[in-house]
Amino acid sequence: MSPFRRGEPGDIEGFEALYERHKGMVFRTAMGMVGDENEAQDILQATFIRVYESRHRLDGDEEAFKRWLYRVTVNLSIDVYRKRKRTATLSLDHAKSKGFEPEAESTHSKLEARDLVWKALDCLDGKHRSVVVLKYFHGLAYDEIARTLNIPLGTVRSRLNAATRAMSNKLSDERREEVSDAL
Amino acid sequence: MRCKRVGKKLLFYLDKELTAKEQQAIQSHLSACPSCRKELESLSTTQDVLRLGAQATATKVVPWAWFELRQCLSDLKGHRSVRFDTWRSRAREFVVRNATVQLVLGGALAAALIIGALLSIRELLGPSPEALAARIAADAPEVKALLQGEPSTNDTEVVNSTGYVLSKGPTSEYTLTYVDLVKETTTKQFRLINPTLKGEDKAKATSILESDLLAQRLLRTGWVMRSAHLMPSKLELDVSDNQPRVWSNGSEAGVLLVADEQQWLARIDLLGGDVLDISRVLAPKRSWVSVDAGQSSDEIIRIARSDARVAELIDRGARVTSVSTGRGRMEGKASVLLSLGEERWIVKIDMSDRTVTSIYGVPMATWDKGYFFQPKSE
Repeated sequence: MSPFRRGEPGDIEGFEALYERHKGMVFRTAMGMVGDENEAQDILQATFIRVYESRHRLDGDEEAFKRWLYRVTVNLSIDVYRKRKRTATLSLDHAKSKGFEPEAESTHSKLEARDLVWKALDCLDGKHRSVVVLKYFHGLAYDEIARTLNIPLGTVRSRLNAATRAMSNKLSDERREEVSDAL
Repeated sequence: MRCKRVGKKLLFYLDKELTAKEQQAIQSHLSACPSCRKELESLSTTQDVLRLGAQATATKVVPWAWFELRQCLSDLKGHRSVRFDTWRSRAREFVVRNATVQLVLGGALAAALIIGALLSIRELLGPSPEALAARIAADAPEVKALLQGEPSTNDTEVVNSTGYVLSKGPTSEYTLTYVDLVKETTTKQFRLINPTLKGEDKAKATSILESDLLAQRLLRTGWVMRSAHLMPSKLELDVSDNQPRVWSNGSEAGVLLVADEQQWLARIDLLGGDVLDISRVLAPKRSWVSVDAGQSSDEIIRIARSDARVAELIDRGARVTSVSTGRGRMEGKASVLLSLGEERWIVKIDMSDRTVTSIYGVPMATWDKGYFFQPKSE
């Protein structure tokens, strides 16, 4: 059965239902990858256009479909991310303006953690970023990440290790302590 | 096992992605190696930050995204032939192609609008800006987290496209939330800390409490009075001059009674001279606990002073405002708050090797005599 579920492939109601079921997951992945709501919305749109274009090739295995969907989202995000890195002058200023709010006492630590996460993720390339997003934004296990991204388990382990260490170094200032205090 | 090999496996140890034998070997190495333990803690903190940051990341897809996607699909070359053959699209096509139907429907809509306007223009236009701001603040997870529970809206003001929402939590704590009504998100939230009672006010609150039978019993069995605060029994929001202020009527005091891990809060009517109630406070789970004056705090302050930067601040006239030690995951750590005028610093101490690990300044919200609260201008 097609993941569109209702009617024949191309049935817009079936497609809408599919979109409703998976839009949150796709958007979250894109947000983790690019850290910008507008770009994440674009990626969401591009991902579902890809789904629609591939509707005749999709079979009914929901789990396999989900893995494929993650993969498409990650790949489209990496494209956006690479393009942005190439034209980074503007976005660097943008990143700086996203810095900390001055009220350490009053802004909630989750928001600080979010800013910290963007700073930390910024030191990773797309490949490393994707394993981090699948693990921490979606809670996937190592073997699930390997199957989703179609890479060996050993590669997942080494990328996660390298990425977490790089981010740990990046975060090793007093701000990290400030957040952990409030956890 | 050597540190280098252990270091490469610490992440997998944290994620329990090792065999039982390896897990055991790392564990025994960690119990004997402080530097690997430190590294483990650093990785664990990074993971916490990542999880917390992931939680705080926006995950709400804008409602019109679906319509944009539909538009994109129908604009794509080759998709024009795709027929979305449902009764809804057929109906839409019928309306679009048929001028008479459009006219009739248009007329019906205009009539409905006029009738609606006569009945209630507000219901037609959706919620008022105040109601919208209140709903956004009530739904915001960061407000719930600050209040440690479901907020109830106390007062709302809207100036241009910014809403100011005063919310009350289940434990009578208050927050002031700024809401961007265009983006429909919260932009800032402040916890309103109850002003401390001093001098005569404090003495009055204490004497009223001491006349209460339950309080007398608690105090006889080793309970101590901790802090006395002005309770915001009635707060009002005032946004004149675009400066949000929160006013308190100031007739109710709260005195915290503590023993071991337990806390009771006595609410006192300062004008009527009565104790309103005494109830158990379910203490929030915090990693830091304050330390009473005595040997342990002296020791922490001594370690802080041994750092040249802290010594310099104290020489400049900075006072030690509070001393805390870590609990749970933060075991073995301590912090000292220093204040000098409007400036505040937090000094973090590692108690295991008795060193100051970091010092940083903390900007404080502006308070005036504790009777009203005024957030810093942006």
